[in-house]
Amino acid sequence: MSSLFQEIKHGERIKLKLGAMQPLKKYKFFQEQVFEGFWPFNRFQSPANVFLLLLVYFIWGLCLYLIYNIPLSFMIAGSCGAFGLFLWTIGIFRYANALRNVEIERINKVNQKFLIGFLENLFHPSSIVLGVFIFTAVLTYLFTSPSLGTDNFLTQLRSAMNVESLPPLLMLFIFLLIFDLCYRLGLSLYLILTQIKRNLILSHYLNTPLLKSHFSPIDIRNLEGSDRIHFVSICGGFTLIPLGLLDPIILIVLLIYISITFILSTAVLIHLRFMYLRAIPDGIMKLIRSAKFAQVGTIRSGKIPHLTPTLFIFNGRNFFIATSNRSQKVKNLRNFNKIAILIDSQNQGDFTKSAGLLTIGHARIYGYNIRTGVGYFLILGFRMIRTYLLFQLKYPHYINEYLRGTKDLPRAWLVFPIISRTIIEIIPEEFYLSKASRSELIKF
Amino acid sequence: MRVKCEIDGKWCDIPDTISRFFLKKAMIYVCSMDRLKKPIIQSVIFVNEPSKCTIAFIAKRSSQIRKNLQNNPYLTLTLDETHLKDPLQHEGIMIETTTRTSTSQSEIQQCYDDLQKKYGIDITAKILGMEIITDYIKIEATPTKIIHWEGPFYRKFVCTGKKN
Repeated sequence: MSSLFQEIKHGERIKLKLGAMQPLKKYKFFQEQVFEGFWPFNRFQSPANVFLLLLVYFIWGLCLYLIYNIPLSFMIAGSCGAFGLFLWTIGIFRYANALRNVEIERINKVNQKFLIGFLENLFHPSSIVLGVFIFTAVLTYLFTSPSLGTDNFLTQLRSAMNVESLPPLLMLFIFLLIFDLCYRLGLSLYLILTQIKRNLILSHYLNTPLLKSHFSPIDIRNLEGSDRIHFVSICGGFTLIPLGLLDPIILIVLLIYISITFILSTAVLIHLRFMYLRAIPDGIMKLIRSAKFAQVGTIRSGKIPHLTPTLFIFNGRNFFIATSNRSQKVKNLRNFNKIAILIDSQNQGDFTKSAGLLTIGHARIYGYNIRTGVGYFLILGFRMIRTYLLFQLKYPHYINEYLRGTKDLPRAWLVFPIISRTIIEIIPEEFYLSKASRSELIKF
Repeated sequence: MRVKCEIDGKWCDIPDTISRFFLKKAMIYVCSMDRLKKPIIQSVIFVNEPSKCTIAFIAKRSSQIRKNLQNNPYLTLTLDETHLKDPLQHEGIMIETTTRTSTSQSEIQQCYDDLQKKYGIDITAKILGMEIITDYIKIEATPTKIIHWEGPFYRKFVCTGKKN
């Protein structure tokens, strides 16, 4: 455990103080720069400016629909396209904001180099290249009509409107909408490729013992949180499907694109989850595995700490405790969901060598009465069953004793999941290492 | 056997089952609250004075616990005896306290000496370090409520105004 301490202290020692330097503020996507340069978009912040873009597309599209008598199916497809664009842009802007808001001054030098490298790649001007390439390919397809005996989107629209060539205003609208969509498609793919590159670099760092200690599991978890925003925004791609229904070639390409990005994004998130676990120092993992009891702290009435020992399990990501759904812990957490859990080695032979892991986070109560318990079970039933099984696996004697002494136990202690017991999930936000009774805590 | 002690003019009548925890356990878990109202748990070595019911320990001036207690003087302590196989034999106490921090050199020195008496010079130095005494403060915790549990059964002790 002492070597673990040195390892973590080493990470702390090389913290940089960059003062007023704010290098993250300069990072912006092309779309954000366009919004900043054009009235009226530059008068609003995200998401209001994105909503304005959606409104512009809707009003413009509606006017074109009324003036040129465009078929309703094209109007619906265009609206879905604009709505998908809106969702996608909101997601990408939120993703950019989440990454820009990292307090880089508080990160150690190695982690900082890694993060700045990732951001430089992510917001690089070349992020537009894939979008331009997709746009060129789509235009080439639409204007040269290489479809296999079928009409493409534009020729179908021409024949539906019974005109030789489409009106310029309508062409401009289609051109802009297609460019916007292709830019998002290209940007999302670019983001995923950058995330894969970042994961590989991070994995290399975590495989190098000297560098591993500079990466906190919480940092990796935060990266995962940001990536998840982008993952959700990819789902905006599904709203483009009505657009593809008008053109089978576009539909096939779109479905292939959505599948590939969906699979790659999922793989990136799963990889980050594994790296979160790898970033936890080996000594800490041993401690978590060997410890049987933990101290759990909550806050009562906004000021009085409440501290009790409890059984716990760790599922590789979060901590779980089981308690009576009438317990003081549950009452406290319903009012204020911050929670702390201390797992220590309790070295009875030589307590000066004891070390502990203090985790501070927020709690999720899986129901505090039968009604909410059933509700949670319907949503998170699989996770609840898995958690109970993990408890059974770790504490078989306890569970047997509970079951054996059913008649003598108070109602709160009866092993009736949902009815009398509930699960509290502790989602870590900060990790600290504490050693014996030293009144210092080392964040890692 | 029962231990009687006086807190702020009120008398606490603490059964032996509770007071023996102080003798059995070397370290006590303490939980304070930081400025963002997050609970912070640590374990400390301590001395207790049965006649005054108080529990005292020392901490560094720059420590998190000191910052927390400056904002919120409430501190909760726990001592427990866990049982690996039978939850019904699990026993412990949780003590809700209000604290007083002291920077008086004589009080800190007295507490340090008491710790040395209890734990020995080597262990005290190993745990608290060799820093000069001015780097420390003394924290004295006075109980307001004690909860004792034995298996699933709980008992609550609140100090009363009468000396029986």
